[in-house]
Amino acid sequence: MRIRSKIFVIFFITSLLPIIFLTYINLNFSQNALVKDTESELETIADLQTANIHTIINAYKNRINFLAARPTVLSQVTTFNNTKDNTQIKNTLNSILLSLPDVQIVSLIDLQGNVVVSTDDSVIGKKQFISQLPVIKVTKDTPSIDFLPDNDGNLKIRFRKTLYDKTTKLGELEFITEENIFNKVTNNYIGLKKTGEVDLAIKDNAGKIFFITPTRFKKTAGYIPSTFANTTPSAEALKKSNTFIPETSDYRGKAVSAVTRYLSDLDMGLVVKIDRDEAFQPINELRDSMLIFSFIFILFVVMVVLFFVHSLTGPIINLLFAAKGVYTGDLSKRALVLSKDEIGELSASFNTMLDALQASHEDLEKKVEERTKQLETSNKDLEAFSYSVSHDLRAPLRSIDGFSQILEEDYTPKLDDEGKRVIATIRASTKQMATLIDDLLTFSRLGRKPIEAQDVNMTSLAKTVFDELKLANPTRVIQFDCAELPHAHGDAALLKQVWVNLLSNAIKYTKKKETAIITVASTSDNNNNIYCVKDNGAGFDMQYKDKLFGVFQRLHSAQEFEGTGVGLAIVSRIITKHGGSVRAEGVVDQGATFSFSLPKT
Amino acid sequence: MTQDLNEVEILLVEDNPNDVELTLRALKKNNLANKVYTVKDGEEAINFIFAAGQYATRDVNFPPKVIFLDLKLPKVSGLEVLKKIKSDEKTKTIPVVVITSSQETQDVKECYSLGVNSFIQKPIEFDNFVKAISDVGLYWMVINKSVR
Repeated sequence: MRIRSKIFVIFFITSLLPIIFLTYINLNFSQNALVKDTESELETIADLQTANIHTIINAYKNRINFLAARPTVLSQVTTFNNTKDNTQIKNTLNSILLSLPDVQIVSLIDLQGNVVVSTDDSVIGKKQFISQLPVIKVTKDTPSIDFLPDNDGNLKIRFRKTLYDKTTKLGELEFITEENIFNKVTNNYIGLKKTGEVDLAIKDNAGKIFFITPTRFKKTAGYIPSTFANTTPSAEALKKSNTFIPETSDYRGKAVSAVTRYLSDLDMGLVVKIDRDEAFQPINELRDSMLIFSFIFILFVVMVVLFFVHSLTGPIINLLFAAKGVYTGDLSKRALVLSKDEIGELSASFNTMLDALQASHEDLEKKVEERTKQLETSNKDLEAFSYSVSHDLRAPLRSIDGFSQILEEDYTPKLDDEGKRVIATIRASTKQMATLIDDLLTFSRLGRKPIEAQDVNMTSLAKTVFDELKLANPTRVIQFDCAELPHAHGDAALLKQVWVNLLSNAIKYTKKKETAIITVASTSDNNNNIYCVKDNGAGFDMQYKDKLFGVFQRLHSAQEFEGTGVGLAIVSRIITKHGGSVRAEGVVDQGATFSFSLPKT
Repeated sequence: MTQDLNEVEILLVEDNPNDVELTLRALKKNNLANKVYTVKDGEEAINFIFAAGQYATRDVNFPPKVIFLDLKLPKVSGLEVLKKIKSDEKTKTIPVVVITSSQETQDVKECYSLGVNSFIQKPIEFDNFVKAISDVGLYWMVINKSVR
């Protein structure tokens, strides 16, 4: 990964992760706190309203209990039962009615279940209304309570208490409340904000659950048998549990938090609930603002990082650019020094180094130019020298030799043996010098002549050279054997010179043997062909083998074997020029093998 | 040499007096020496061939049978002499044999490209020298047929 990316990722992670982590923790914490808050609020309201309901109910219960135990009432009922005169009892019922707020009808029921005396004359004679809703069971001390829905869904509550004269049943006293006395409980939205409400629910004999008061959002009148009360909070409540349900759905299908209460004396469920949206609104606001903040922060981080990365890696890339310039051969590029930090220092050092490199490079080029000029001059001098030698050294030599011959030819009679010997010595020396000059010239010319490479048939070349040499030495007995040699790639003239020198050496140094045996063969290794010339001549001592190829180096005297000692040096020079190498092996008086290698074509 | 300048058979152009002597001696072996006339530099050679300067008395229509020409000459060089001879209509048919010490291939090339008829290298050893000169002389004088 590039440095830029690395830095970017590191910064991103180290700044982002804490933020995410902190945000998460914060939100979580806040959420939990809020849930607890909601719970306690709802619980408070549930307790409050439960108490209210009990207060309301108990008021009626106590009253009816009290009245049912009053001797006055009891004696008046007895009187009525005996005389059928309802005057007294009716007055009593009316005054009871007046004393009870929210009670609509007070009635006396006979033992058959008929209404016999009532504050509302219209109900007299009618059978008691049997509700579909369950009757809250009674003990001897408690009144029965049941709920009376009318066709419009309004609910009245009926309290009945059996009247006893000692152990004799006299009849029943009955209160029927006004409609919807619980409405004032459930219509009170204090502490419930905009979506909270208190619902009261009961189960009928068939097990269906109903709200007995209007709900906040579906304001139908109190009791309507409907299915929408069959929702979890109410059901839960009627399962007789008092719990906090943080998340459930209500009769609208909305997510709510709810507290349930079971009012056992009424077999009724109370639910206090509030929409989760509203309950958790603070936290949602917090989360939203944190998201926005995080987003802004990330943008900020990104920009800072980009800037920072750029300012950090910019100089590095610039340095890289200058470095690339060097290896493509452009020494003039310099890195920009943009900062005072370590990278700036590196760039500055790099530039200094490049300055030195460039200067030394230019210096070197100049030196090379000078040297080349010197060499060219040198070469020209050498050429002139060679030319001079060709001409000017030869002429006097010719004179020396010629005139000594004339001396010998014309003045033989006047010369004694010593005189003849002297002349012969002069002539021999002249001859030697001539050969020396020729060899020197050849040797020097070799250094200057460029190789004109071509494919050379070494077998035919070696054989041709031998034939020429044999022609020049007709009296010698030579057994010559030349194997098939691999072709070489090189200068034909120079390679011929090699064969000439090697084969003439072989012929020369075998002159003391009756039959000279000269063999030419070849081998090869991975990269080269190796050509060998073997003879059975004078051989040489291996300890001097390094001298063999030196210029003017000889292992024998000129009297024994004539020569100037340049032949092998010439061979060595030619072969080296072709990229090969030379070797020699020998045993004194038994023979020698001279070999040279050339790169394979 | 006191001879008729129009009856010269071999014109020897050579500046080195020793070489002249050795050459004449060699030619003597084949009895060719008395037909030789020697000039010692390029300028004299040209004057002789073109009948100019000190040789104005010569008849240009009677050139030598062959010219033995050395390359290294004072005043005018052998190559220039060769050039002059071979570029003139009247003289270009005269056979020219360059006899020189030089072994330089450059010299050989140049001479032939200028139209030289033969190129001989002077051997150092006298025996060889004598043989070469006498063979050459014999060839050009006796065996070879020239215009004249």
